[in-house]
Amino acid sequence: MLLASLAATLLACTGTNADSTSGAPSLTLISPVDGDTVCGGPLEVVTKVENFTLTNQTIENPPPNEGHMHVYLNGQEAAQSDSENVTITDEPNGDGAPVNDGPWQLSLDLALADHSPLVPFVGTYIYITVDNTLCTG
Amino acid sequence: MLLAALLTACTGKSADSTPLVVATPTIAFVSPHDGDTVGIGDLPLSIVVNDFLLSDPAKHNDGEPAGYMQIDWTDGTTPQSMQTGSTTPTISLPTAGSWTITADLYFTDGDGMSESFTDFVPATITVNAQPG
Repeated sequence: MLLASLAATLLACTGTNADSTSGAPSLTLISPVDGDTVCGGPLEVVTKVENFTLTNQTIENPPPNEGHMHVYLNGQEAAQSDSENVTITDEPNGDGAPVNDGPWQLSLDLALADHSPLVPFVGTYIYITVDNTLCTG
Repeated sequence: MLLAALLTACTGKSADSTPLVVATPTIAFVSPHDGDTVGIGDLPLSIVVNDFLLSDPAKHNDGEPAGYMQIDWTDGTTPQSMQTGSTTPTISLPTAGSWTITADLYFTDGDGMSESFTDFVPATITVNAQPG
């Protein structure tokens, strides 16, 4: 009886069950890849997020595997996303201007729904070059 | 008692939660690279700034952990400077020769980063400007 109570307590405190995500959260940047030259208006970012539920909600005392993704250009936040596919339409601090030509560091990380970073940190970065002559339409 | 201990452990928190650690901001050049040869005239820079929110130095951001970047560049005789909230500013190198470019961070009130973070290090590169 005591063992059953302990098991139930541990299961409850993990906030997960057999039907939900298991394993460590992961974030894979699919596109662009390091060294790519891409359009900056807009800049399309495609990722794969596993074992983590993306949401646009801000939650106090958030569950451990739920939150959002931050996308940064040169370390400055360009987007906060609840989707694996992110469209960046303007440059951070650019007053609405599209991402301008030149080299950039593109970085991403996962954050809990109260905006705190995951521990251990889950994120990645690459270097890209923006060339807006590549933009179509 | 055991249940209480388990519940405390599983939340990862206690009454004496560890205070939030504020990371030291970092700054580094993406482009150009140290030692690059560049053309005389306009030189676009790309600088990555982590753990610090850049904002337009002409705007007030009271209460925000934010500030601006100051770029200083000199060939040893002609020091020049600009303040910006952009990570991709363009500077001008008017003459040929070796130019040292330094990027530093300041809080909105003008305080230097080293006043709050003793381990903060500004980014410095040297480029060789040549006629195009």
